[in-house]
Amino acid sequence: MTEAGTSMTLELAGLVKRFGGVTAVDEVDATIHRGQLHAIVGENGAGKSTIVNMVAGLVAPDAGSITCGDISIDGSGRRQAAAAGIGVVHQHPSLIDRMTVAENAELGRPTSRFRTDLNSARSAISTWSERTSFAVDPDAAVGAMSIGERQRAEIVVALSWGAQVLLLDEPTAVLSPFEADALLDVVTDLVANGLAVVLVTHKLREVERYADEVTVLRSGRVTATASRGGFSRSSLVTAMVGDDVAARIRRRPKIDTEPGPVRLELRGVEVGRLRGIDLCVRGGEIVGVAGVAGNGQRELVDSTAGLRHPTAGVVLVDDVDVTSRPADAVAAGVAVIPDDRDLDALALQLPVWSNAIVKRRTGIGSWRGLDRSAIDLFTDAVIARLGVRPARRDALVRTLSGGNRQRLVIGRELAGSPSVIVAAEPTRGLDPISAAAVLDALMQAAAAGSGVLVVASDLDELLEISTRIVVLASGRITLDIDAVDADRATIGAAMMAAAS
Amino acid sequence: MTITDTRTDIAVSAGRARRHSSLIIATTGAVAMTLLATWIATGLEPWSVVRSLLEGAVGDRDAIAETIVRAAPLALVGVGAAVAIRGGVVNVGGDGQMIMGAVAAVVVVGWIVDGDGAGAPTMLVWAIALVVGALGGAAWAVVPAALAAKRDVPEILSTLLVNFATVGLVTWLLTKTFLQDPDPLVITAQGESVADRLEFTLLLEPTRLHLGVAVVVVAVVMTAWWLRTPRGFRLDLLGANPSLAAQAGMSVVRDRAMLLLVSAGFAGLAGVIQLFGISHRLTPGLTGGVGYTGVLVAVLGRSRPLATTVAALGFAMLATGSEQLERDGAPREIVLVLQAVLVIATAIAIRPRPAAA
Repeated sequence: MTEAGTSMTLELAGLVKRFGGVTAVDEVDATIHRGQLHAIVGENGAGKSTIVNMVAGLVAPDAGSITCGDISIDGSGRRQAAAAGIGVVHQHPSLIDRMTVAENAELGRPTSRFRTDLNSARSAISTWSERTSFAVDPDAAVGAMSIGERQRAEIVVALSWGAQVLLLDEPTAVLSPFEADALLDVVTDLVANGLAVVLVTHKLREVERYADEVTVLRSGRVTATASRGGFSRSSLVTAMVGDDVAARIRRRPKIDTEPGPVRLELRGVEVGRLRGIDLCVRGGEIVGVAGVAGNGQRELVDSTAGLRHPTAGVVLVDDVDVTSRPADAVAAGVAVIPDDRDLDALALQLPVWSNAIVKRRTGIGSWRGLDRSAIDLFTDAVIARLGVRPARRDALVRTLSGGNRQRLVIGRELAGSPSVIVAAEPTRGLDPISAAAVLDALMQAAAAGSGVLVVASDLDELLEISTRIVVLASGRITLDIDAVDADRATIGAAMMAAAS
Repeated sequence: MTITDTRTDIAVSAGRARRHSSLIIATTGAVAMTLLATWIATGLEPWSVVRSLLEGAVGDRDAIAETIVRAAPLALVGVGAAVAIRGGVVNVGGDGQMIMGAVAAVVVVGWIVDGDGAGAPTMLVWAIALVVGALGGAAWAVVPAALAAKRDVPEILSTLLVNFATVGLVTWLLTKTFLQDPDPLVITAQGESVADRLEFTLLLEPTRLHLGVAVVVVAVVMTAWWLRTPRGFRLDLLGANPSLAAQAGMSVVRDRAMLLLVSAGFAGLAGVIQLFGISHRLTPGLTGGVGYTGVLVAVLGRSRPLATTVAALGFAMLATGSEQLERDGAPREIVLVLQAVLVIATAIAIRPRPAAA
């Protein structure tokens, strides 16, 4: 294992990376010291990922340098970075599913030996597993782990290689608030023991709470640097998006309409983890569903869309039974915004217009062929609704960024004033501007009379937009209160309420 | 966000261009080397090999007609396979479905027409035979379709395995049952020849260009048309993302089973066309492997009906061209190698853009 000097720091100096005519990273300087948690924040496309990839040794900088200890990272591969003591945990887990944690550790080990030595990999994993209290079993198969466990395994593997600098790319994007806090608490302990940690994120709450230093990026440039105590949430937002935009995404007023008639009703629905769910959503209401991931949220969304067959109970939309019948759900005006957009909401290799019209049952043509002018008109409306960029009907969806994909999905689902909107993690992975646009759109739809059900792991977001909060734990509703009366402690207790 | 997009696009297209040019060099090289090897092994000069190939394929009116006759069943099976592939279903059982379509047609035509060919009007018999053939082909995919729908058995496996069983079944039908040739001198597996008046009309004597080719053209054009309608659009959606298709109200399991049956129907139709147009009797070799090659043609044509038809013509050209080459003295082995290299070279030259990561 690499033993780096005690004065070890990660130094980025005048870092530049261009892709074609676009400068993704422009003269970025940053120094990350041992014993510090250094947050790098910025919108999607601000250059964070490019910096991560350069530090990880995957992409060569065009100018400037990255040095760690006395080793210079020049983009010649991840082993070079790992040998310099840099451990990178990417946003998407990169361990191999079919191998155990120890096998993965041995496979990717930066220093070469003549033969594999699983035992020492195993013991290194065990050691770090104990030190971090992450409880990673070196012999557990990665494929059987939850996303949170994988992430902890990745961190332990990086530490077992002797990482002195840990780079975490959006580590909490897939975690519940409790998991996220637990993870970052451990990371803080590691920092206290002398590790240097780079936290790439756009969750400002985390930055406020955990960061010692913060570097803000916008369009590849550093727009602000600050130390603990020297920044506030609003100063960070301004640095991230600029003054004019920051004003637009300040807290919005809650919708204040009298709830209308019941639009969605679940009666005794049982499927998968759901155990007898009774839930009503009225027009004008936004019901926020809180809970730790995996407590039945997925089943709730799917059964509302008619995609799951409940073993008991019925799903009614405007008093029409749509249980187990997706076509009827679509016809009854149920809009679905699934949490995994790429997997469930979009056909990535088809163009924007195809994705825009998938839920249209009529009006897209006849036996004579597709009605291109009607389709173009409809597609333009979907694009314009939330401002998909590029605003081209024939752009392949896979060329759109995550934020624009979500704008497309929501624009499509909100077309034609839906009766019910079910949104799962509607802002996951979005930068603040896109997230604000998405939340605004949901609130407008509710104000226009739709019944909105939002499932999200970000409690702040739920509290911000919901009129009612429902907590799902072990497949049951353990709390159902008006959002005005909700606070984090009550909700947290309900989340932990064991099913009895 | 635009920065990231542009970056990926540029990186991808740069890599693509680099890979593309090196592939073209590699394939051109492979073709050249094969021609060179042919020259060394047989003394046939490269230009004369090329000339023989072209002469056999498109050298004169008769050669062109023969190429079209060969391409017709291939295009039909290919278009059927293409429709299925667009919906995410791969049917490799075309060979068995073709021949069972022909068997079904022979059985039903045997009921409505008596031994010496009297009975219903020819056009009516043809129409019935075509419909029955399509249904017969489809029936031969019912079990794989049901297995896929109920038990999640990959249709690519089950349809292939059904083919193997079909070979034995057809040989048995043609040697041990009422379908065998009544002529006692015939000992090979073959059926009775169809009545002369039921053979498809020849359109361009002395070539084998027959009326069945027109059926193929109609079927291809209608399919191409259908794919441009809203239903065709939903088919593409099903193939692109079944999960989204389900959300949009499509019944994924039922639609996929249906697609398998439809593509099998195309194969059955092709079987009838070979029966009345070319072989004029049931034989185990009626298909000439078209049921398999049809899938290749669909892939080469990137699942588009017209491109698939062009690919079928290309395959047929290779077949007729290499027959000429054999007549001009090239050994069969060399011809086969040359065919294989040319197909792979074509596949690489027209291959779709690699999907961006």
